Amino acid sequence: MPKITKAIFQNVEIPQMDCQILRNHKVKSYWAVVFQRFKKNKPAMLGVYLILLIVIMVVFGPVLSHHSYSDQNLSAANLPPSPGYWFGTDHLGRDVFIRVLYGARISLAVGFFSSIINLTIGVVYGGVSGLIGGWVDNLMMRIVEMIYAIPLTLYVILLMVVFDAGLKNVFIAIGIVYWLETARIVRGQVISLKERDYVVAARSMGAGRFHILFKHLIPNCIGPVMVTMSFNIPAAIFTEAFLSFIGLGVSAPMASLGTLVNDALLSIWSYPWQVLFPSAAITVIILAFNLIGDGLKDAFDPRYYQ
Amino acid sequence: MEQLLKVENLKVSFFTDEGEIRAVDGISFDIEKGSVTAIVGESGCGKTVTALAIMGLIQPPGKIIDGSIMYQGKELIKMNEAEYRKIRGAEITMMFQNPKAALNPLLTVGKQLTEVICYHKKVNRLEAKRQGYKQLRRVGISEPERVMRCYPHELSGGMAQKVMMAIALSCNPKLLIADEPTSSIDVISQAVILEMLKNLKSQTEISVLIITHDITAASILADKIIVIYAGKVVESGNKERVLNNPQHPYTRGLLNSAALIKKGKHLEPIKGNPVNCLNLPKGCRFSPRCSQVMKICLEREPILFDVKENHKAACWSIHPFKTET
Amino acid sequence: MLNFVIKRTVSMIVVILFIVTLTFVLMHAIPGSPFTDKKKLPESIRKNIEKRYHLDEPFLKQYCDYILNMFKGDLGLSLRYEGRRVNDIIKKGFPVSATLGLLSIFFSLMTGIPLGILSAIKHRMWIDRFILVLTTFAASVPGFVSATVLIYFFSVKLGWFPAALWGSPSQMVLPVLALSLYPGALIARLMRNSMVDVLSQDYISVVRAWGLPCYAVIWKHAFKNAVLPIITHLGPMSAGILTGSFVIEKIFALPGLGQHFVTSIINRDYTVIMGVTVFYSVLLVLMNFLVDMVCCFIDPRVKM
Repeated sequence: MPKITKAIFQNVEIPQMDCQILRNHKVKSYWAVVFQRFKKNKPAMLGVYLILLIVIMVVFGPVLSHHSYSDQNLSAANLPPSPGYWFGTDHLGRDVFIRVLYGARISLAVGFFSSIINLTIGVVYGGVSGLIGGWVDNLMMRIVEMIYAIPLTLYVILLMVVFDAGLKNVFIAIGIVYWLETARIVRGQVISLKERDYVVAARSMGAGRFHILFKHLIPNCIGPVMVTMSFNIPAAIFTEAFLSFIGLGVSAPMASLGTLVNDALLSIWSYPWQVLFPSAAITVIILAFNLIGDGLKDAFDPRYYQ
Repeated sequence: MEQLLKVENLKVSFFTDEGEIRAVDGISFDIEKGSVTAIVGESGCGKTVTALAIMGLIQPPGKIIDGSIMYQGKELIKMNEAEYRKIRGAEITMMFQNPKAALNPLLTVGKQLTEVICYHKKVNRLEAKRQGYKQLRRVGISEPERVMRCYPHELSGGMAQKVMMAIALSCNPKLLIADEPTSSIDVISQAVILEMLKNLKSQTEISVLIITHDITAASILADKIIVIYAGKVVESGNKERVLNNPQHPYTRGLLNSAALIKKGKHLEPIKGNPVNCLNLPKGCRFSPRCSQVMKICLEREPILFDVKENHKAACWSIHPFKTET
Repeated sequence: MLNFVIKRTVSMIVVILFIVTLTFVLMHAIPGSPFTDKKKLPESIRKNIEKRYHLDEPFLKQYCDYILNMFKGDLGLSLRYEGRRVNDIIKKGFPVSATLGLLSIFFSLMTGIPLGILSAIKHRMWIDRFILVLTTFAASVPGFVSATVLIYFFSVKLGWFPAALWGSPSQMVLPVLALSLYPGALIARLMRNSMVDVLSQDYISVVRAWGLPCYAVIWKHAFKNAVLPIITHLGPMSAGILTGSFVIEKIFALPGLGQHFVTSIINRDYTVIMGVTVFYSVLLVLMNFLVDMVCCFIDPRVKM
């Protein structure tokens, strides 16, 4: 702290701009802030670690185990959990642990592929609707409104009845139904950008309109679309388990977690582990994705941030 | 004159992810009975937070971390909710910046008005309604019966602000805090509201604390002006003294950018932007925007110096050492 | 008001027509006739059966007949059960499903709303965190998991409640609980966010500044505003409860419509699938209509 003397009451020149930059140096980019907020969110990070762990187990678990998901061994049927069979065995003597891992594989695959289909349809539909505008946009959004009014899970069921069982069909049936939210977000962004785009386009003599649109569109959409995706994934997993449970999912001998629970349901009185382990697995997977989704939502929209 | 409210060294912080934001950093002032005081400053300088602190309405993540607010000899900061509630509305009341957002959209104006009267005056609905009509007429609403039945979205901004004023005044408070009462309504309604606030003083014993970014409005209404910059008082004093002989460069800047006062002359905006409260500059907070920076301004923060009686300013330029050179 | 009702009714009819068309087209997009797949029937018998179900007629005629009959309230005959009409199946199964569904909606509202309010009032405190953890977990449990876990603990281990069938109140406890876990958790979270939102609004600070007591602030001013999103969510929520009921009815062996629906899917009983889908869709569209009317009644800002 300087002593108060007359000497320091001299005027000094400071260039105004330099000061501003110098003094407000700690300006972070939007993405850095979002990322930092997400990283600080403990439940969300727990979700990320859980998913990583599940992915590792699902990829490497079957390789390391000496059981296979279809190996039957009737002499070892309905065994309780033991060091040899971590989750016990089912009525055909198959290792429940391995079957749960394969079921989790299916769940993750469904979550991943269906939401990619969702995303593609949503982006294309919303993008086209917003870009063309006018009556086409009006009509397309009317259709979206109409689809919003109908119970979608019922139509996934119907589609599965039409397509017949099978993993690929599950991807498609779930994928072509839940794209409405993405479409709406993308359309909204396209329209708001189009309005700004006229200014830019006029300045650059009409050149590179699409280039500009896509350069701005993607960073603007990515936040809300990511949040929607992160909730679509567990919803797809949920739906797949539901379909398998009522007998419409993947076909035998493949077994998803829903099938496992369904098959073992009657033996809950005598062999509860056959039901409880796959139940726990599906819950953990959905929980992990939900935690990530909540974390993303909070990171992008910190109103409810704790 | 008798003192009604005394704020001393008030500090309010908001604890966010990015760190502690000191929105109000040691503000002191007092309000005398029957006077009009104006707090003037740019948006984000801590004006509204000061008002909310007096009302005891600072919500987490905000927190009062230091200071005292004495109201008629009672310490408000240490009061519990139940005691505070008896003061709010009945003794100290507040008008808000955006009147349309300040009324509950799902209830009619009448319901909201009579509710307050019923609660504070302990009267029945019918009587409250009668008093409500009287209050609405008092703020210049000619058809109180119709307005009472309206929902807030059916009112214009100016009308909503009048309703807010009627509700605020319905229980004869001793202090009215008006937070930007005119900034979000149209010009004609602004004039009406200002006129009403001005008349208030002559009609009743009420003290008014006006919070505004508009030094013109303050100069019309106030007896005393307090200028705040980045959570600190930079100049305060009698209206005439501050307006005629501003000492702080920020006050001068505000006056220069106000159109009405310097009729005919060209406007001079203040350079730069308000500072970021997260990382304040060393020394005087205003130094990055000041045109006459001295060495000491970059090193030490000035305290409030007495310019004259009832006139203080926080600027090194009025230090005796400077005036000597 | 009348204008609004008429407008909504017209759009409702359009949506119902859209749904029926979509369902009809989907069901007729299945390759082959429903009678070709399993047993090899002699050609003449198959022709006869197809004639009975009007499957030999041109597509458009079938479609028009279906729509006409539907508006008359006739959804056709079951393909698998001789002489049973889809209407009868619905009449028999729906009361059970409706009881289950309504009880679940009621129960999830009764638990979700208070939990959400409590969480919002204690925003950022430990109880808020606790409720958040609880509801996040509950919202991640699929219906068949909650049902089996409930059966395992309360029927198998403790023997408090029966694990199957329908009729007595004690038989209703577990299915209703299992079915309302997910929507209840969702409502609690929705209510919390909407309440936090409302509590940060200006008009809440204002009523506080007027010194109104806490209960008036929460109930008169905040609650009514915060519950609006919950009401609009009732539409999608009943859709969720409905599909959830398929699983729950299957697990608890309840004689409801969902159970019949699942059976008819396994049997490929197309007319029943179609009829029940149409019935449920119409029900949900009606539900949405009702929700809109309620919202319009509560919120004066909604244009009639």
